[in-house]
Amino acid sequence: MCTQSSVSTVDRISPPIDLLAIYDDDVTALMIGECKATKSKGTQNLKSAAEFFGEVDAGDYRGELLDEITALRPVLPAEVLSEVTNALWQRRRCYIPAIAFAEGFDPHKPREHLSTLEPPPTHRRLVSIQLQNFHGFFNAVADAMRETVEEVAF
Amino acid sequence: MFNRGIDRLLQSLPLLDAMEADQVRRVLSRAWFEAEARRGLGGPALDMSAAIEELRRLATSLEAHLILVPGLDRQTIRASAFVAAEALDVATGHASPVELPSLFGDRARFERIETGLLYLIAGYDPNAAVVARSIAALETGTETLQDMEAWLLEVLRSYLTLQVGEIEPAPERPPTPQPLHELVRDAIMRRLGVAVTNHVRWLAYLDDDRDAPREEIATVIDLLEVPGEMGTAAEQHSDLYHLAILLHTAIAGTTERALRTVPPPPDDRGRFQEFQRDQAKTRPLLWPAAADYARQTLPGPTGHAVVTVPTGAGKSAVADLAIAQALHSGWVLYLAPTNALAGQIRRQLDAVFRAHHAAEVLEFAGGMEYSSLEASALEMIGGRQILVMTPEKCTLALRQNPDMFAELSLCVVDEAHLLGNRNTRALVIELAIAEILHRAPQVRMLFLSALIANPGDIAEWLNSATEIGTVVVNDPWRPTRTLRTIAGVEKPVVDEQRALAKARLATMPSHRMNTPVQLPLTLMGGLHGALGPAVTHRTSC
Repeated sequence: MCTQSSVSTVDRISPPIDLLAIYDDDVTALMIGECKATKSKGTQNLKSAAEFFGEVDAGDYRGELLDEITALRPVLPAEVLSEVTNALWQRRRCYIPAIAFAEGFDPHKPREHLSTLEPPPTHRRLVSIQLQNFHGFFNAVADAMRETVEEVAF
Repeated sequence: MFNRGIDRLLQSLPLLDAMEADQVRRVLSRAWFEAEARRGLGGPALDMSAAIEELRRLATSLEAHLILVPGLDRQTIRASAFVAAEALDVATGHASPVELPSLFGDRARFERIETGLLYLIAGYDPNAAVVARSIAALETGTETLQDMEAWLLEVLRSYLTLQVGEIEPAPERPPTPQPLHELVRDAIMRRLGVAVTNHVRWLAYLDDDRDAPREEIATVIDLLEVPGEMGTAAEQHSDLYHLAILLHTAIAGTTERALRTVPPPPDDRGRFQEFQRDQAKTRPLLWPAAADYARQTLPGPTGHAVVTVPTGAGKSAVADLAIAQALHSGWVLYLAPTNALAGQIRRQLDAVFRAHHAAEVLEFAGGMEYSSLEASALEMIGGRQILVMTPEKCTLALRQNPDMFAELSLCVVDEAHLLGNRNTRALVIELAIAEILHRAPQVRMLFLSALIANPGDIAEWLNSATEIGTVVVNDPWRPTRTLRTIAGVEKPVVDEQRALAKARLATMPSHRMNTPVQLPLTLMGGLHGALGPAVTHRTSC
C-alpha cells in the first residue's frame, strides 16, 4: 500500500496506535496507520490524524510503539527481527491516515498539516474511503461484531 | 559514569546505521549535561525537543533490539540495556511527562519501571534502585489502580531496590465478576508478580528454587504467544508481554550475578553460606569485580589476586568474599596504610564478620612500638581472626611473633598502588609483604587499589615469587555517574569587574572588607571519561 514492499506483519487495531505493520523489501520499515470514520468532518479528522502523527514524530508514543512491535515478536520472520532496530533508529516509517466518510471531504486537496510531518511525502499515503450508505455500513459492522460475541459478562 | 568501562561496554552495541559508539556516548553525555544545566546550574531554558526525540528513538531502537533479536550475547544485551536506560532516564529529566493511560496508571510510571529493569539488565543495580525510588514522586494516581496492578507495581519496586522484606502476598480475586479481558490481565499480573517475588526471595535465601521464577515467566510468555482466532494474547496484552520479556531477561541476569551463586569452600561447616545469607539481606548481587574474583579464584581463594577497580566499584566486597572463604583455613591479615584507614576498615569488617560469623576483628595501628597489651594479644592469634594492621605494626609483628604467620591464609593489601612510591612507607610495605611471603608460603595475597596502572606486572611478579597463580581483576565498571567540570573565567572580564568592585568598595565605610561581584563563568564538563566531547555552558555566579 505504502510502497511495493512485502508486508511482514500487521498488528491488530488498538488505541492509541490503530494500525502497525512492519514491511520488508530492500529495507525494513514501519507503517503506522490512524483510522478515522466521520460522516462529514473528514478535514477535521485528517487534521487530528496529522496531530497524532506529529506526536509520533516527537517520540511521545515510544512506549506504545514498542509494546506493539514487541507483540509482533512471535510472528515476525527471523531475518526481519534484527532489522527493526535500524528501522526505528533511522526513522524508516510511513504514515497512513485512513478516513472513512460520507460527504464533504476532498482527498485530493493539498493538506498543509501533513507537510510538517517527518516522513517525506513519498512515505505518506491518505486512504480515503467514501461510503455510499454511511450509517448502514457501520450498523452492519456493529451487527457483525455482535454476532461474534459468544458471551457477555456483567 | 562514562568512563573506560562504559567505553568498553559501548563497543558491544549493535550496529546502528550512522551511529558509532562514540556518538552514542556524546549524545547521552550532552543531553545529560544539558538536563542538569536546565535543572540546577541556572542556565537558560533550552529547546530540548530534538534531543528528547533522539533520546527516545535511541532507547526504543536498542530496547527493541534486545527484546526482538534471539540469541544475543550477554555483553550486547547489557550494552543495549544500558544505553536504552540512560537515554530514557535523561529524557525523563528533560521532558514534560506525556500523560497517556498505561499499565501502572500512566506511561511515566511504566517508563520508570522499564528504565529500572533495563538498568538491572545492564548490571547497574544502584541506578535501578534510584529509578525505583523516583516512582514514589509519581505516586499521585496509584489509588486508582486495581489491587493486582498496584501490588505488581510494589513487587517490581521491591525487585528494583532488592528489598525482599517489603513484598506483600498477592491480593485475593475480587468477589464480583470481572470482564474476561480483566480476568486474563489479573492472571498474567499475578503470575508475573509471584515469579518476581520468588526470585527476590531466592536472592535473599528465603526460597531455594533458583530456576522456577524464570521458568514461570517463560511459561507466561509462551502462553501469550499462542496464536488464537483473534491473534495472539501478546497482541491483546502487549504491555504485559513487553514487561514479561524484560523481567525474563532481568531475572536471567540477577540469577547469574547473585551472591548465593558463589560456591562455598569445602568443609567450612556452613559458615560461608551464613556470610552469604547475611550479606544477601542488603546486597544480594555481586558487582563485576566481586563476580570476576569469585569466578577466577573461589572456592579458595585458589590463588593471589590483583584487583584494580574504580573507587566505589566494590573493592570492599571483594575483600569480604575473600576473607569469608579464607577464614576456614587460617587467620587473615588486612594491611591498611594509615591509622585512620585501619580504624575504618576494622569497623567495617567488624560489622560484616563479628556478629554472624564468629570471627574476631582486631586492630593494630600506629608506629614501630608495641604496647604490652598488643604483645600479649598477638601471642593468641590464630583461628577465625582478622587482624587489621598498618605495615609498620605488621613489620614489628613479623619480627617479634614470626611463628603466628604460619597459619596466615590471606593477606589483603589495601591501597596497593603505594608499593610503587619512592618513599619509606612504600619500602616498609614491600618489606612486610616479602617477609609475609617468606613466613607464610601458603598465604594468598589480595592486592586492592583504584590506581594500579600495571596490574599484570604485579601479577607476574607474584607468580614468579611464589609459584602460585595470580589473577587480575581489572574492571573499569563503576556504579555511579561522575561529572568532571572545569570552570573558566575570561581575564578581561575579571579585570573589569575587579576594577568596578574596587571603586565600589572605596565608596563604602572603611570596615567593609569585601563586596560581591557577578562573574560570567564558562563551564566545560563531561561525564567521567567523556571530556573529549565536552559540553560548554555559560553561567554566572
